Amino acid sequence: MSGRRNAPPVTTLGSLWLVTGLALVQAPHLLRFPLGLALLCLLAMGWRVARDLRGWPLPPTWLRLTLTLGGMASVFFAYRTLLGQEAGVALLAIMLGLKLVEMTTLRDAMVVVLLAYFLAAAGFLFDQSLLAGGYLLGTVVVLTAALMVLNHPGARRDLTRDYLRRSTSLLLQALPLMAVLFVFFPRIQELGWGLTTTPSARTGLSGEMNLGDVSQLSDSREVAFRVEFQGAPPPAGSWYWRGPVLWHTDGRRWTLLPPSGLRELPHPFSPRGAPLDYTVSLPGDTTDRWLPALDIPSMVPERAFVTTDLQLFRRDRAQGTLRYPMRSYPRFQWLGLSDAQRLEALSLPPGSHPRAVALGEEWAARLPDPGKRVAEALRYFREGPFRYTRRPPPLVGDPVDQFLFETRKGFCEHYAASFVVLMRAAHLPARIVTGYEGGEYNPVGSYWVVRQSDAHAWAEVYLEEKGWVRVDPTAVIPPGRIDQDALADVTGGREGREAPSWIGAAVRAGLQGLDSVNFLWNRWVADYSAERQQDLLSRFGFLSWGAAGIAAALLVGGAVAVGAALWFTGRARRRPDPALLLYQRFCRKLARGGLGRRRNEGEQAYARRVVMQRPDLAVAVRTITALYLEARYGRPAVSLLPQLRGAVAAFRP
Amino acid sequence: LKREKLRPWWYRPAPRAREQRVVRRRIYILPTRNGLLMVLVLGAMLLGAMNYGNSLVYGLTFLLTSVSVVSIIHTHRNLADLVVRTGQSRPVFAGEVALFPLAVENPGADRVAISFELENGRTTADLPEHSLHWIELRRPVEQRGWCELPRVTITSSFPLGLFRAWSFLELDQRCLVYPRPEQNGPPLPTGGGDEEHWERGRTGAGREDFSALRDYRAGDSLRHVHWKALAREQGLLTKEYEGSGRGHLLFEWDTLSGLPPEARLSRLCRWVLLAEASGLRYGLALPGGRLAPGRGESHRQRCLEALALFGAAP
Repeated sequence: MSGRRNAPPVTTLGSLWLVTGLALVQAPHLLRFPLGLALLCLLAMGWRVARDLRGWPLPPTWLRLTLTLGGMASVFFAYRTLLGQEAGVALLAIMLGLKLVEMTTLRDAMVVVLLAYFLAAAGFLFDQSLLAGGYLLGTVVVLTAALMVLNHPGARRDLTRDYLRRSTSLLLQALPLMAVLFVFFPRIQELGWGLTTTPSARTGLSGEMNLGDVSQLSDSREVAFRVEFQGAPPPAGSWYWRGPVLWHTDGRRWTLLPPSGLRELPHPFSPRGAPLDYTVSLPGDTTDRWLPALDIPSMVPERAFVTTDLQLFRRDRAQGTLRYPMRSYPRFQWLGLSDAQRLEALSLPPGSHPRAVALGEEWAARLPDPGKRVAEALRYFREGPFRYTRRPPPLVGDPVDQFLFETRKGFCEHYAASFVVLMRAAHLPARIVTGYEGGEYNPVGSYWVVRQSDAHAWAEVYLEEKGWVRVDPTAVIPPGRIDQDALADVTGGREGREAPSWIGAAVRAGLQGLDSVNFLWNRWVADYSAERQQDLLSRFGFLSWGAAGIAAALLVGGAVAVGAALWFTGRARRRPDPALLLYQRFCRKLARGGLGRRRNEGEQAYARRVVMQRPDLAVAVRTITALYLEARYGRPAVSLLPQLRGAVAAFRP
Repeated sequence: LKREKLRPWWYRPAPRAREQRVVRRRIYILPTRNGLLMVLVLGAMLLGAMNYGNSLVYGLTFLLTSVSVVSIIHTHRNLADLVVRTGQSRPVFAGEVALFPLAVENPGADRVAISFELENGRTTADLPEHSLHWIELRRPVEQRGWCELPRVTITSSFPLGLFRAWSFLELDQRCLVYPRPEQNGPPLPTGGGDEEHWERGRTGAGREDFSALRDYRAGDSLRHVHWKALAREQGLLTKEYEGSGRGHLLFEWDTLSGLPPEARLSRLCRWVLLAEASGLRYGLALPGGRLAPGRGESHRQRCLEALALFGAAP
């Protein structure tokens, strides 16, 4: 305790910097916290500021203890645990906030800054976007500046920009070494110590479909994934990104086949035509279990498996972006259907959608050719008149019958589900495939973006001689019967409906540029994993030396980076005194007239010698010499440099 | 001195001098307590990055690691190449605080939070680029005689406080410490004692004799400034005069035979101060030598110096 009493106290200015830095670090966390926790953190920070600026007393011990226990309790009630990612971060944030209202010594303040760095790192567990990266880098600049202020007993308020400049340049000087460590420090696969918990899921592919429940489709412009094609992109009309395949229905809800039905080996399909090679990148915050691939995927990415209906599942659900190469055959023949699957693909829940079943059975009786039955169903949708809308009226009764015979307004899910019901009623095996359709080209990064709003559902019908055939009943709705709002949503833009087209083009180009920056960020920074490291290192031959190679790369790279930092810091420091530079200019002017300054000749002696030989220059020489000596060695109250500069410039020997 | 011999070769300071440059290879640097805490925090961040396979947490960990490493360079550079010169110490009395002025020259970019430490405390200063800065080190003194400036540790942990760099300055500077003047001692031995100490002055009454020239000191009367010397560009000089007293006192070591030596010096010191304050002429008789009676600031200094260095090796 005696050490604590002697410890230097934290300065008011240092404390204010610290609160600023901590508030910046906490801000993104507070947005996620339950209201009570966020308010507690704000209260603590506000109290500290009030103490620093208004001289409020710090809260008494009993209050601090109460707040601490209350904070822990509310974390526990909010998250049902004190461990795990979200609860742990909340706990750290609360404790840091409460530490603010008890810190008195410099040592306390230093601890808060160092733990605030940790809290900043925890921010990346929730958001790995470029924006989050830039923001947290900014907070690190402020926190580092706060460290400087804390360690500067003579800190002054008017030096704010100076601290920020120092902190930024320190970070810039650290970049080379950081880059070396980032590239070469051996990455390992996720340890998975059970600390990982899945953050709250967001919209994506769910693996089930509830007809009529959700009466709105996601308009999210969020990026679902990005694709780079190695060759030419597939022709229009075949951009079907396969996701969950739904077989089973209870009349309203469509689900996957149970795992037992999926674990069979996929039925072989015969490719027709050339394959498509491409690479898919999923953003880091995706929680989807499905790896999207164009119809029909012909390979399985690492750490993934394939089911009999050609769904690609990832085995682990680790965070971080995922990139995988893929090969698909847009044209194919896919024969083979087991008895169990045929049964599943024909089954309808007994007693449901009577009118649809009657219609399908009527087609089956009238049209012996299965292909004709499919065509009849599509004609039925086309001539309905069915409308496409992304905001259909809710379906309260039997969803399929109500859609087919009453409302006739819906989106892809309604069409796909109704179509599959009609086909099954017409004795044709059919299933729903969900996923994404389409893609938007980004010319800046020359890749394609598929967004959450591109989510789609279509159908597959099994025809005896052709095998599984993809049918998209939504596609037959003529454009005239597609709601305008749906069109606007699908083409992604409120932008430019009335504005001149070049504005729309500019906005679009800007957005595309932004997205390609994001893509590069994900690809080279957020997505830099153990595999990509191996990939990169082996490409440059480091891996052939084994661990020694990596160690050597780290050492050599580190030495070069530290050398670079030394050079940078040294360069900043070798800036000579401006007064000296001006004086040297003055000496050069005199030297041109044969009156150069001798080696080891003092300034005063030199001035005397010059005045002896050139009495006409006496005033100027004495003035310049006096100004220089005072500017360089004295402690002038105001800068004498402007005067010196003027005098030297006007000096004409 | 023994401790010096035990130090490893790389930790031995430079020889004492009136001017010392902080040489790069004599700057030592180690992490502070907070630096060790930073290592712990970085370790925890690295474990988190591994656990979640989170590339950005890796990135931030590496960034902060690099920042810490680069801060070593900054901390080191903060001290390097500073030049420290000794100034003139004013004599003090034992029991007071000796002040050691040091001129610190910064030949390069600005330095922040440079501390100069003695065992008993520290002085911290910021040094703007290309500047000369005076600092004062304080050291309480108890013993009369020469007080050597002990080893000064010049240290800094700017910018981040994670590392502390230090170097030793062995500066050849000393401060003269007069004996502690006796408190509540007997009054000046005027008249009441031996009459022979109350002699007539050598010089005639009322005339002040010019005796010497010395450097001008703040407070000297302008009437005594040697203006002709100033006109000859010899700087400001003050003329000193022999006193004008009617008689003088002689303070003798031998008359205080009942006291231990340090107490005798204290009493003599008190008498010198009292006599000077009363405008009397006084002299000093010590076993090692005599100081002829006189008066004035320089005479007082000579007397006090003799007392301070009494018994010391010449």
